[in-house]
Amino acid sequence: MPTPEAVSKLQQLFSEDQLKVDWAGKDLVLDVDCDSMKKLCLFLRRDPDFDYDFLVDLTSWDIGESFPLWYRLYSMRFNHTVLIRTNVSRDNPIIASVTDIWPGADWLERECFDMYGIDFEGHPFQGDLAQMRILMPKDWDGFPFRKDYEPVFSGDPLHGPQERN
Amino acid sequence: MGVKEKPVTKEEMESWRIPIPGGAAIIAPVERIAQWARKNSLWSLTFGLSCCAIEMMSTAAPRYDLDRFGMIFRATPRQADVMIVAGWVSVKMAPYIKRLYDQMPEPKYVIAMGGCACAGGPYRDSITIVKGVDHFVPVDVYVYGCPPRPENLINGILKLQEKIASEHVLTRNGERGPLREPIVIGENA
Repeated sequence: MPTPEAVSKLQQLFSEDQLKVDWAGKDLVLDVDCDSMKKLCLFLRRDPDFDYDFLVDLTSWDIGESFPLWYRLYSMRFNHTVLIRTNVSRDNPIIASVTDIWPGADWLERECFDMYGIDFEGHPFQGDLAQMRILMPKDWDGFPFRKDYEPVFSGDPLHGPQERN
Repeated sequence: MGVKEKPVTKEEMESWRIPIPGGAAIIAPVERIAQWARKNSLWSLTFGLSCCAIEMMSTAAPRYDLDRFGMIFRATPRQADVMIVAGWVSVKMAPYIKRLYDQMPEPKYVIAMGGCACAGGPYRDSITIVKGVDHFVPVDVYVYGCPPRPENLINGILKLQEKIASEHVLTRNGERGPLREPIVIGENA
């Protein structure tokens, strides 16, 4: 459980509308603006009071107008967990990549791109569609976990979905 | 000069062929030996795709013991005779299965094991699962079940052996025997 001094340090760094601090039991829950997400992650990694050195999970889903993006971090030294919640807009789904802070984010970000089309700025494979695809075939059309996804039937079992029957 | 020659027809060509006296008596035992050798040393390609592979492994394990039928798992497609597709095949996996099949030498056989490999199974409405491996490789035996019991798979293998025993081994230009209806095991089970 982070100390109150550490949490107040966090609140000084970000304004009210950038960051909302909440508690879920012993764990911090941070609702953060999409643009200041990278700054928050860098702070949480570097600050000796937090020292979150392990990215446990990165997940997203589709709620219609935007994609919520949840990062769960863990500190090996303090046995802390934090949940960072942010929203990526549907029209312009771009967010800064955290692969330079936690290299393990590589595959998690690729999965989010594969399923929802969220573009991670600064990812090693950013812009390379064939390399970013991790679960789907390289030549797949569209992002299948979006609610408005309509499959393009190629009819060829080796290259894409076949007709429904 | 000026006379148009009639082209040689296939029937005419056939009529010129003179059988070797007693040829059948020589060829038949050779064919019998080759059939016997082929059907009793069916080496299977080692790969499993999902839960059917567990059942395939237990078929190979001591209780059901596929070695009794001369069947061992070979970890290279270049020395395998039969491919048991055990489990669903996704669109991403299909090109690799096709490549493995292409790397196997003739004569080669395919057993589609389980409902997913036969026809898509419970994932038939899914966009990412291929609705049966017969969309990209020719299948000799379909073994239905979810997953099929080891007895069912052994039944399929025995039926495949019967099919191999009825095939002509010596054919022109490496053709396989006459195409037959695929064997279906346990459709109404």
